[in-house]
Amino acid sequence: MNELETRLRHVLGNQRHAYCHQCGKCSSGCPAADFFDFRPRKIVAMVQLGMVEELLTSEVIWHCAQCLLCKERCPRDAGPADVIQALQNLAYCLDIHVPEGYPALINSILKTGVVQTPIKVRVWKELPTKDASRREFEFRDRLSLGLPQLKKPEDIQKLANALQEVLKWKKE
Amino acid sequence: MEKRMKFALYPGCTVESEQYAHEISAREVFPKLGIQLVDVEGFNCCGYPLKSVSLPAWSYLSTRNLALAEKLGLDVLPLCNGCNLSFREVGHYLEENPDLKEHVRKLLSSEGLPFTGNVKSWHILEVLHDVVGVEKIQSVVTRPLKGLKLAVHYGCHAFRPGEIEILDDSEDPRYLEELIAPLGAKVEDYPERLDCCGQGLAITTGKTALTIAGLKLKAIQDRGFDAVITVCPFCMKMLDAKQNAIRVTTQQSDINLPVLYYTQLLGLAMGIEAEKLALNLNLSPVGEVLKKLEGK
Repeated sequence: MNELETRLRHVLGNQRHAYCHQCGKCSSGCPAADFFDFRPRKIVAMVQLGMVEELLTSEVIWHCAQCLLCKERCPRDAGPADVIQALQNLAYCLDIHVPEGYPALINSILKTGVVQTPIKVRVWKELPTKDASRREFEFRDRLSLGLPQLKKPEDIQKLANALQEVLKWKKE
Repeated sequence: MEKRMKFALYPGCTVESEQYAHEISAREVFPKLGIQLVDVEGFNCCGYPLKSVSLPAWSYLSTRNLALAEKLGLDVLPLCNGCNLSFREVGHYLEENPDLKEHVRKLLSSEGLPFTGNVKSWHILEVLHDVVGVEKIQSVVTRPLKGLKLAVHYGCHAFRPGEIEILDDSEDPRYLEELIAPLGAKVEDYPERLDCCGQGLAITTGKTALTIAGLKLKAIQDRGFDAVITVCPFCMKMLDAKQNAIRVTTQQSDINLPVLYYTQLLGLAMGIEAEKLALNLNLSPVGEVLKKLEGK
């Protein structure tokens, strides 16, 4: 077993992927498989064959929608979605390739504790109908819509420090 | 029993920052059903969005919220499938990873937060179906939604993975149908009923996400449904808010279908005004539903 395989097993916390017998139920139901050369069955097979590096450097592991259908249907409880998620975790850990949306998410949580702070939304003067002609609206925020202001973590630095620490966990 | 009628409301980032219609309609209907919602100070992101890059980060963020609720002795009611799954799953994950569990416990205790795992997160459909109950829902209907033919969209994380046991059946959930039936509307099966909305792909490949959502909306519309009913803000963001982008991406210019939160639909059946249910925040043509109910 090479080092990457060992690390992947560590992230997974189990070795259920070894049970996969390539029946293909995962790929047949996968919503992403219609659009990409993305097959959960193939990914699990590659992991079984020790081809972890090939997967980590490929964009293919980021084409999973995490709908969990494969995990549900797997007759061997191999958890293809879990294997894919563990590969994504390892790619992040090793600074290999991570879609740019993720660092932005992390930064937002480090700064505010949440993914997005409240924004103003479109409020129609009249309920929208199928008639697409002129619709009047205004932009309003939580408060003007009668929603309470939600109090976020008071000591954000404490949360940020803990999050930084846990993000580095097992990174070395 | 007392504890069960009172929940820590966890709107979740998407609802509390932009999908206000879910929060407004939930705050409107739940008290009328005898459920008290409590706002909790200091909640953070549920961690679910970081699951793909760091299971440890997810574990910490998710557990921190549960600890805040535990401190108040309350169970959690999230308004998002993803947040609920995050809270329901994290305990199982930490059981399988005891050294991470210990690490998270230490981090939380340095913030003065308890960590016993003795707090449950309830899916909104569980609270409506198992705590409030179908009979109670039937009893509050004052304006039956006669003449509407509705399609349900649960959202994958309302009923998967089966091992977490969120709703009645992870291959054939029926809670949403059973909650719509007493409102007087007709709810019918359709082959794409449990298909994914595509939102999970939005962060990496937006165009594919829109295409997947478009296929589902088109199928529902072609089958003659009047509207889609969902409970998930992420699915709502795809199915309700992105119809314009979907029309452009898929070149299906006729996609134009009302999408409502269940709490909005329930509120209408309870005789509550559309504006109090924030129907004027939906971006899909929800006015059509009202027109049909008024027989126009």
